[in-house]
Amino acid sequence: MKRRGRDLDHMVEAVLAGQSLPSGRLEPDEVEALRAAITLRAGRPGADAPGEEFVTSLRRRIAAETAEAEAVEVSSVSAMHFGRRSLLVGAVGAVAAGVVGAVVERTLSSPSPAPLVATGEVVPDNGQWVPVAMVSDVTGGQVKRFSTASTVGFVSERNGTLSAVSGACTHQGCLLKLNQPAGRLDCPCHRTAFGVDGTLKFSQLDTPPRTLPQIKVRSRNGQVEAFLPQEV
Amino acid sequence: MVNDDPHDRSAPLAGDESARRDVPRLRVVGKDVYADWDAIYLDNVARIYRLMYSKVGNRPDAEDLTAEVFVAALGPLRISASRGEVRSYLLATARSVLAGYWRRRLGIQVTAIDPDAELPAFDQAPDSSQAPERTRRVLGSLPDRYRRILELRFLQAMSLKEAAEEMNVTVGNAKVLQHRALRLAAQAPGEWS
Repeated sequence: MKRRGRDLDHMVEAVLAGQSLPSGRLEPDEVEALRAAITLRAGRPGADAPGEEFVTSLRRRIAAETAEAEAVEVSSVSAMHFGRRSLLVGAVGAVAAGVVGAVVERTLSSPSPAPLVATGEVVPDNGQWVPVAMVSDVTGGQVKRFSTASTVGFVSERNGTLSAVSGACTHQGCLLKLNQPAGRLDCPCHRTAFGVDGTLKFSQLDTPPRTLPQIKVRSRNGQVEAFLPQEV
Repeated sequence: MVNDDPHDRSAPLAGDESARRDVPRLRVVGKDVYADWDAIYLDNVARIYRLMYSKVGNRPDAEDLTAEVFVAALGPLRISASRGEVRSYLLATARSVLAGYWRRRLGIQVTAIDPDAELPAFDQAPDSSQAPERTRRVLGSLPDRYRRILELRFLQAMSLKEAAEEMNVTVGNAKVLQHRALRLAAQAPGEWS
């Protein structure tokens, strides 16, 4: 009986200290006393407001889990080559293998080992030039999204020079959304955005994701062509 | 070839207010239905947290339990459910999550949430806390010295020694007072049923 009294004391002390409750064995009347202690402690003004940091981090977790569930759902209905999941996997696979014409890839304050920095243009072993947009689509600062069986990307033009970046976030491969008014590419999974030149604008992640791989592009007959892995 | 992804959703970036204003939501949303999981979360997280805090009295456990409720509800709960259905479901989930918590802590079955009794308070504005009022009612039912020791310890966060000095009694006396006051408070009619 005495031991049980001590369990109640420990639990009440934890309540007073605002600590996680320890385990204990209580008599029914002690359970009631513990409840009284909890209610009194919870009545401290403002004590029961959730912390901003907690609310934000759980929100991210929920968003990530719902996004993941949606991706799985979509994959189950995309039997054809052009399904979202196959595009996603294709893009991520290509990025991982370093075959999507990565011109320069930098690591932003990442503690990971030696960043992959190409000294020249890296091109797919089995690449081919594929038309992905009209040149007129990207004049005047417009950005165009394109997708093929292997790759998703965004083409833009600046000072007469065409460029393109991968459309898959370098964190988990989520497909980026074009936010034309803000001139950036937003990741729907975690609060992260890239410039249309592939540089990281901001990220909620502790380790910021890498810049987006560049995709080699050229202008041919009024069309923008990208050098992409051959479609299988 | 351009912008042809049939699954393309123009959902604005979470928390990005300019995007939120500029990009219309694709779903037409009745006032009784949530637009998406984010809306469910934002509307209910404070409610669930306050409920859990009122039941466990500490932040770390209340946060763990709140997270557990939302993660458990993610799979089965359809966002097409009405606002009321969503809240009822969250409350029912909170009940079983909390029951599991007490089973682990005390090794016994403690029914801490009665969904029917909790729902009216749960439906109130999420930033309106019932806790101070509940505490005031409990304290109001106690004799002066018992009320005083609990006020000093639980509301004013005094140590046992400080409370003893304040009440001009020994630390041992303060401890006994607190112990008896809690047991008496536990008998306050209608508060802990």
